[in-house]
Amino acid sequence: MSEIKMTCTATPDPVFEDQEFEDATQGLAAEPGEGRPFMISYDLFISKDNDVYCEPDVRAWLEVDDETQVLALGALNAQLARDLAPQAFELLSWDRLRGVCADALRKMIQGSEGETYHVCLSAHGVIIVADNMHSRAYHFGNASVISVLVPASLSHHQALARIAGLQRCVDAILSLEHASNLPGESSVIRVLPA
Amino acid sequence: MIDSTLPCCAIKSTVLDGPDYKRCTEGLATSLEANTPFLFSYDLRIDGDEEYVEPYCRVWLEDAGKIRSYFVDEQPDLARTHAPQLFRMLAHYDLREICADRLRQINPRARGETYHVCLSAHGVILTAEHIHTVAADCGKSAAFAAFMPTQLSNHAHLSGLAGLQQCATALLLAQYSVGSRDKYSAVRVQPS
Repeated sequence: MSEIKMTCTATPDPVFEDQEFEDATQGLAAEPGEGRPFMISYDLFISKDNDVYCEPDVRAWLEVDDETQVLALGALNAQLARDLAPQAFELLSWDRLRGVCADALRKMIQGSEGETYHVCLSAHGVIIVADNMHSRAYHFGNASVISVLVPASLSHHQALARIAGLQRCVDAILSLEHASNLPGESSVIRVLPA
Repeated sequence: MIDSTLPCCAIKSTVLDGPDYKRCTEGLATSLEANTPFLFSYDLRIDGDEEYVEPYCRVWLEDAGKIRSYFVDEQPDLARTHAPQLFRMLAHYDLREICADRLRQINPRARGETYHVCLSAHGVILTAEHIHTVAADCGKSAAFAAFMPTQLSNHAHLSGLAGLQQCATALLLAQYSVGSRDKYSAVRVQPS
C-alpha cells in the first residue's frame, strides 16, 4: 500500500478574479470545523483523446462531529441541495474555471485516461484531487494526485492566509481518504506558496 | 410541396418507470401554465462511444405568452426551488445512457452535436440545440426523439403523448423566438 508524503505548490491563477468565484463561494465556511459546508465539488475526467469532461456529481464537504463528510446534493439531501443550489450551479457553469482545471489536470497526468478527479472549490481557491489518491500515487506518482490553484494578485499576508485555508481543506480530504480506505495510514500533503 | 413537420418518435423505456424519474420531475406542470416550469433540461453530447454532459441546467416555462428557458445559475430562486430535482436529473446515469444510445440511433453523425435532454411530467424529449440545422443536415428524424414510461394504461399513454406533444411544440416555438429560420413549422409526437 502506498503512502503519500508530498508537497504541493499552490499556483496563482487570474481565473479567481471572475465574479463567479464570489458567487460560487458565497456562504462557504472558511474552516472545516464550522458545521457548514467548506467546499463544493464536481468531477472531471480525461477521455481517451485527452479531452477533459465534466461529471456533474455535485457534492458538499462538511465536518460533522470531527469527521469530514461528503454529501451528494439531490433528493437525499434536499435541504442542503436547496441551500447550496445557487453556488453549485454557478460552479457547474463556470466555464473558465473548468478550462483552467482541465489544463492543470493535463499537466498532472500523462498517459492515463478515464481517471476521475474532484474539483473542490473553497473560499480560498481550488483543489483538484484524484478520486483514489493512494492508488493514483502508487501507479502514477505523487505529482498525479493533487493540484492547488489560488487567486493571483494577493498581498503576501493574504496569500499565506489562503494557503493555510487550503491546507486545512487538503487535510480534511486526506482524513476522509484514510477513514474510507486506509486505517492507520499517515499520509501528508503540504501546500506551499509558489 | 415540402413537408415542414418534424417527426418525434416516442418509445417506451422502463428507466422512466422507476422512482428516480419521478423524483426528477416532482413539481413540474403537466401542461403549459403561466410561470410554472414544465421542463427541466441539461445538455448532452456524444463523441464516439462516449457521452458527455454539459451541465447547463435550464428550467422551461411560459411567461407572458412566450416560452422561455432560464439557466438556473442565473436564477437563484428557481435554482433553490428545484435543486433536488435538478441535481438528481444530472446524476441519473441510466437516463443519460438511454438518451445517448437513442442519439446515436437518430443521428449517427451526431459527433460533437449538442442535444437538450428535456424532462417533463410525461416523459423525456431529446432535441437538437440547433433544430433546423440538424434536421436540414442530418435528416428530419435527427431533430427530435422521445421516451415514455412503459407502465401506462391506454388512457394514460394517450394523455402522455398529448403532453409530450405540447412540450415538443413549445421547444420548437422557443427556437423560433431566438431567431432561427423557420424552415420547419411543426413537430408531431407519434408512438413507435
